[in-house]
Amino acid sequence: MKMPLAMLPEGGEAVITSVVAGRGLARRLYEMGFVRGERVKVLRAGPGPVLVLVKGSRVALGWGVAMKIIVDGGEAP
Amino acid sequence: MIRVALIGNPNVGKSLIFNNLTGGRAHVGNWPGKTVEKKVGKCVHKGVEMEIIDLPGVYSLTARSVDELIARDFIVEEKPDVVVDIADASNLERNLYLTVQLIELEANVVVALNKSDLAMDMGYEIDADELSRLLGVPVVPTVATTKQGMEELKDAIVKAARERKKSPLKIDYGRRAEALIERLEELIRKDPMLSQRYPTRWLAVRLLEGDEDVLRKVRGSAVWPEVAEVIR
Amino acid sequence: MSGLKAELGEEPEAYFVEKRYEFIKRVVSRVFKGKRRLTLSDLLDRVFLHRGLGIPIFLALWWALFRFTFDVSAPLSDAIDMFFGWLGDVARDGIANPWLASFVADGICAGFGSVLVFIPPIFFLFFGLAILEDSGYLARAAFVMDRALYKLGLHGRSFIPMLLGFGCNIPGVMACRTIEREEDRILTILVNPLMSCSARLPVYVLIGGAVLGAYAAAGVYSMYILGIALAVCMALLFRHTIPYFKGRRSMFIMELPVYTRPTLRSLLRHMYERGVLFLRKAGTIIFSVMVVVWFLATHPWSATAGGELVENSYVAMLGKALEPLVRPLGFDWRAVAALFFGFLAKEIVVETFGILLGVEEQALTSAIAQLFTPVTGLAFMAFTLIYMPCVATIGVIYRETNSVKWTVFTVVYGLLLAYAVAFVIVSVGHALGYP
Repeated sequence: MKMPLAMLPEGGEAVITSVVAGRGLARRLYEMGFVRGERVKVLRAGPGPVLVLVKGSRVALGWGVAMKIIVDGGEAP
Repeated sequence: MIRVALIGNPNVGKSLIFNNLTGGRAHVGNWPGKTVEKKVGKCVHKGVEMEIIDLPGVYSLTARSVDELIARDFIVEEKPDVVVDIADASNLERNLYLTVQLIELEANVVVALNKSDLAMDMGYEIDADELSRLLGVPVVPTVATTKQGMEELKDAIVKAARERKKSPLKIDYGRRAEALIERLEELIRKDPMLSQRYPTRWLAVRLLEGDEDVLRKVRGSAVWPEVAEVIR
Repeated sequence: MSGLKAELGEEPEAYFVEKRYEFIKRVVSRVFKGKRRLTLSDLLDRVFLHRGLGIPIFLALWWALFRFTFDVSAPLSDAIDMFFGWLGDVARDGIANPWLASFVADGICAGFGSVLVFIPPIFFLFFGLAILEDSGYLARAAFVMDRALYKLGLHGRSFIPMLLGFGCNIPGVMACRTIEREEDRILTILVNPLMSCSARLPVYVLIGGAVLGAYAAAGVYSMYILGIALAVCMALLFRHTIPYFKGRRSMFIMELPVYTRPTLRSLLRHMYERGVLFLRKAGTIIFSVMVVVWFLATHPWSATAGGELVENSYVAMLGKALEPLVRPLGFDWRAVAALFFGFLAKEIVVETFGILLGVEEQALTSAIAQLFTPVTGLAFMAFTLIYMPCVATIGVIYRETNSVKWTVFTVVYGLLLAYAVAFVIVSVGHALGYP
């Protein structure tokens, strides 16, 4: 089920499907490892900045940024 | 005297390696016109004099932020003899992104695989030799905090400066992209102002990526109209 | 680039990055073995980034840092102060020529002393800061505070520099280096001086103690709150009105480094690097300005009878000349002169009053009470908070922004804002019926 990364619960894991952001931000996110098909895990959920594990490193994302990353969290409940 | 630039992701231990190489004595200033700190130091190894320039910590060379612009401009314009890419062994995947970009930029790269101790503690095993073979550049495991690997690193730097080998690495971007790249390279080669200053393949890929800084550089060229056609 | 998008099957920016990562994944699979284990860093983050405890933990650590810095360095600073005082006395007694004696004692020794007295707190502060930074903790602090700051127009990474400013604006301004985007960095530098640095405290205590009576503590506390409130307002104001600061803020993306145990070597190195930087730039400015101020306070030599009668000096003349400007605020020429000296270092404001009023420490409070009313005293405290950072800070601001424009802007807006706020305080006070 697709949703913004910001909505994932703490401890949740998902696969990135797309990034809906302006050029600059999108590119920065890609280079930090948020590419399509990459698996991410939420270490600390919102509201507020979100901490995720991506490509082996801990990256903090502002809430607005986390809303722009669309992930597939697996089957719908 | 050879000029050696240090580059790497933030938090990889670049400052520590800089201090290990230069003995802590550095001339600190600003990059011209910017508020970013510039550190330059000296190092003498087996009779070879080296000037070590500390570039800002960056995640990539896309030149969107001031730091990236400074780093990229330095490598492209000043053409240092060696670029030491300090990669965090405990975080390899993302760190290699910068390495790959440096190789595409045709810099003379030596990779310092730092925090090898941390990687080991985390239960990781990294085959540095195989990595070196796959990337086409020397890879030296280091532990900056205990100065392990420093001698080998200095050896590698001197050797790289002398041999000036270009890494044979070429990423296959897929049939369609490669066709576009080749067409752009043809156009770029027509303009010596571009082809002599920048690596042609790198320029072509960046044009396709829409790199603003590169677009600006190419817009002033005679071949721009044809280039614009290709990348539309 | 829609043609490209169609050709490649997706946005070009994404496409090439993905291809590179695909290549890297293949490489890594061949050279890398091992699965990520739960690390100490993960566990520490559970504590430091804890929802409820994260902020209190940070505040506690911060408090500890300040206590450590100022408690440990205070005796050293006092020792340096006394040493140069003693040196000055020796010079004064030892040198026959009164002018030369004054120059060496009050100009040079006092000048050196005022710079070197900064060394202990600055170095200790940088040392403590290096511990927080090198260990990786500071990134967590920025994370925890980001949400609150974003709404206030500032960046998550503005938090640490702002907090540092409460100790001394100089490391506060220098700490702004960690802010990526130049516009955000400069904005934070501009509002940093509004964080009431510890040098202003003696002024609040003196004036507040003298005229606010029972409300003295509240008055002092209100200065800190005022500073924070103004910093927030100015940040929002600048962001909305000055084109340079408008536009999308750098979005908060920050990697949290692994927690590491800082090595003593690197801590000392950081402390040394930043401390020496401060000394070299700020130090030379402070020293040279002190000499200039000595000159202005003791000349014309004959008129001041060798520096004794300050009211006949150039500074007094300057003060009297500017007096009309500040009379609406209830200040007199001595206040102006004190503020003038405060330009070079805020601590000196208190001593200046002492000299100008010709009284010793003990009698100073009552003398001040004759100079100010509760309302004008409060206005003066506010003026001291805002008017402009000390010359050392200005020097550092210049160095960090690399721009004359922004440095001058800081000074100008500081003066204007200080005057405006002081005026409001006085007006409201009078309107409410207070003298």
